[in-house]
Amino acid sequence: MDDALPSLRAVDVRCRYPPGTVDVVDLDELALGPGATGLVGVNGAGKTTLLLTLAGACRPQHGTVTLDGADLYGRERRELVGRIGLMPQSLDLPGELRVADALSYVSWLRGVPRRVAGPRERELLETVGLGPRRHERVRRLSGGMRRRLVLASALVTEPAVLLLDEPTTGLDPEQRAGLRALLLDLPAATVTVLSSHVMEDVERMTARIVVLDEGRVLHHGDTTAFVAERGGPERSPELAFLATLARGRA
Amino acid sequence: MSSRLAVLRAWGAPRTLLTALALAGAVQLAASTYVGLPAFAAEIPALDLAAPAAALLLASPLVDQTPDLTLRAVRPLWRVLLLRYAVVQVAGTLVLVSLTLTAWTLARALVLVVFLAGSAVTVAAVDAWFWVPVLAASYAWLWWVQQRGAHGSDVALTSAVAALVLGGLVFVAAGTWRVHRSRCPRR
Amino acid sequence: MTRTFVWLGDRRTVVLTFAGMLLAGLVPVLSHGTDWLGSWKLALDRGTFSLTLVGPVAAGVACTAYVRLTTSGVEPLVQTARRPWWPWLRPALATWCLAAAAVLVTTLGVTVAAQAAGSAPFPRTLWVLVPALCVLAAQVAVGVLLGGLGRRRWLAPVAAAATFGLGVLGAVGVIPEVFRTGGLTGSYAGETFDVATHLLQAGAALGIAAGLLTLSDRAAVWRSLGARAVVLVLVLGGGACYVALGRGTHETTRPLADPALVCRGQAPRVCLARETTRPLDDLVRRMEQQAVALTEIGIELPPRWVQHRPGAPAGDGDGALELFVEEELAGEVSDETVARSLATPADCPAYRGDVPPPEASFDTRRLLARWLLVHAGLLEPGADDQDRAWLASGTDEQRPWVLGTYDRLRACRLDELRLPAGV
Repeated sequence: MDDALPSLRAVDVRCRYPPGTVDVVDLDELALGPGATGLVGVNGAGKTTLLLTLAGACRPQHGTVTLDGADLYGRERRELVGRIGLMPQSLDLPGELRVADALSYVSWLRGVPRRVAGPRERELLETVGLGPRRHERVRRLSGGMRRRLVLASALVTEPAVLLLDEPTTGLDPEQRAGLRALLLDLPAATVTVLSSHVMEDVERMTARIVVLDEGRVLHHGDTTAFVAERGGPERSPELAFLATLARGRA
Repeated sequence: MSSRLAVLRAWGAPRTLLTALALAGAVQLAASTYVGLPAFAAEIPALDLAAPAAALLLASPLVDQTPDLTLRAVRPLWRVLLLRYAVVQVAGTLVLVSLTLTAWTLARALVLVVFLAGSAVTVAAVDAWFWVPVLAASYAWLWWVQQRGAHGSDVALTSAVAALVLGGLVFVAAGTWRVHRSRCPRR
Repeated sequence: MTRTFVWLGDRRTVVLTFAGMLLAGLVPVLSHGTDWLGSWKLALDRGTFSLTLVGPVAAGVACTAYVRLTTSGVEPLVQTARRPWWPWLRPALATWCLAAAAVLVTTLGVTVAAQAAGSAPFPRTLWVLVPALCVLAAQVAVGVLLGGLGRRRWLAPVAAAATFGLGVLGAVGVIPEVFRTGGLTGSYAGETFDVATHLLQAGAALGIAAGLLTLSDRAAVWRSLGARAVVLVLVLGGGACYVALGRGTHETTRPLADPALVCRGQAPRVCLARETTRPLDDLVRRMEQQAVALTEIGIELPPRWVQHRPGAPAGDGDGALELFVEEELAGEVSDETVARSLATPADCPAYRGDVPPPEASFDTRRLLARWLLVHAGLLEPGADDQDRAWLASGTDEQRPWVLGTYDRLRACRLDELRLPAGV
């Protein structure tokens, strides 16, 4: 991996939710480089916890997460977290806020300098298709529109690392195609992790894939090869996933 | 400017300032009214209700409406919390000024600062449920004022400043600690 | 439990909410100290008075629950239910149940404590809890309305403040006192709760509750014919009660037609209202101690001393017990009160009439009371006291004045009362 390009590494990471004693995430090592990586797994596999940990929002009980070699939970935490964009499944934005204000607030909280914040926010709202709705209250947005606002919030810092938790949930086919185009438009150096249940999205949008089960990585490799090798004669991504899961559990 | 306004809107500052203005107006209207509450032996000035009302109605910016975002804030958290505390105290100042324009002395009106500092401390302790202890404390305070009389509830300037600083410190420290605890669960 | 309280939070939150309501309710209950230990009816009154804060807290909790419900996206499910008013009103019912439990536990606690402290119980007056719980329903409905329509989390303290404010508005007479429960500044000696006033209050409160709950989601509550009929009856009936309550004076208590007395002691015999017998033994002991001075000089004491009760006529020949409210409720009375009572061998109509008794009668009774205290060894006249010389003179010198004065006091000839020469 090129030293100049961003890289996100999780080493010997164990996460659990006290008082629970079971590790929700249990990784020996996971290195993520530029380009899009799909993160797949059944419900409760630990995808969201792993994303929160990689985003600097939830320190693991054990192990380290580094961005370009610097500890994400160390002294440089604030500076590093500013370089990571997270699109959670839902964002608790006050419903009475207007769309533009909500994005401005996120932008302020995420430390975006004022001189660049305004133009960037306008551009992002246009990009995600919320430009005409910038004065609408957040609570008036449909589920899909809210998802797009959350995506804009994740992109507001022009992050070097973009973590997307179920980004296509609630999006119609047109919006999904738009999201795909948006991901393709991201700078090539951006480390993107896309967690999803929709294998078709993962196959189309990502170059590499990580299969997670009970917090452990069952597979990490090239997406096309993954589907080709394990997807059977139909080259089905679902089949590839199920086969990996069965093999890992066996 | 617009981003600053957006931040204030996200905290509910315009609403809080409007509420403060309404309270300030109510203070002028009720300046010479006395209220006989059940079980109270003597009537109390309606103005005595101003500080508890402010503590209940002006403290909402202290409650974090976006905890998930705060968890990933890049701005120094103590500064964010301090600004939210400042918004509340500034709103309270409107009511304070209104109180001093009545027959109340500054020393009597300063109890409002103490009440708002108290709200900050209770937010630090119980977050969005701050109003439950504040409500109970307000009633106890009204009772105490009725027993002590007008001058019994005077607050020295130094005490008010101490409460202001202490309330802010507790609020910021507790808020920072709470976010740290969420970010970094026990090992 | 889980299904009923689901919108209030998990089990831990429900328990904490209940604890919060209980603690908040104790603040007004204990604001007077524990004077209610001296009267079971007052303890019951104080139990319902806990609503002063339990009600606003319940309103805030209800507001929070309805904000949660309306922002959770289940509203379409509510609207498509067979009886949509039921899932809509369930969080309100849960909040009401929790708050009602807090009020009942508080009331049970204070009444049991009062009984344990020696106050006679009056379980038949427990009906007063019913109108109190109707008021609680109206208070909860305020929170439901704000949460259901406002749908913002910060409205919870607003709901609490508004509910408390309704009580204040009632207290200053802007609206009828629908939201006031308990908080009497008396002892309930010879009194009981007024049924008519409480009935009107309950009716008005139920009407308000029904109206506010309907406004909180008309589509859900107003849909079925049965629900509509119930709401209409409650709102119209409540409106009538509200108007009636706002007209004229409506006391929450009324004097008992035939108040029961508990008497102890022989010389003198002392009788207190059955509601406030806590200080009786102490009173008898102190009266016996001080009455010796009177009997020694040959005065025949009244057959008994009776506590004054509002509305009750004074018995012929009975002495009047002049107790302060705090003393009626406490375990002990002061020697000064006892002396003042012994110096009131008849409950003269002039003592409670519109025209005050002659000025000299006050001085005379005061001197007689001081004489009793000095003779019982409970008072040493001060060097500057004008009556010092007379109080220090011998009994033979004092007897004619004491005999004459006592005779006039028993006959209520207050105009003839005079101070001894030189005082």
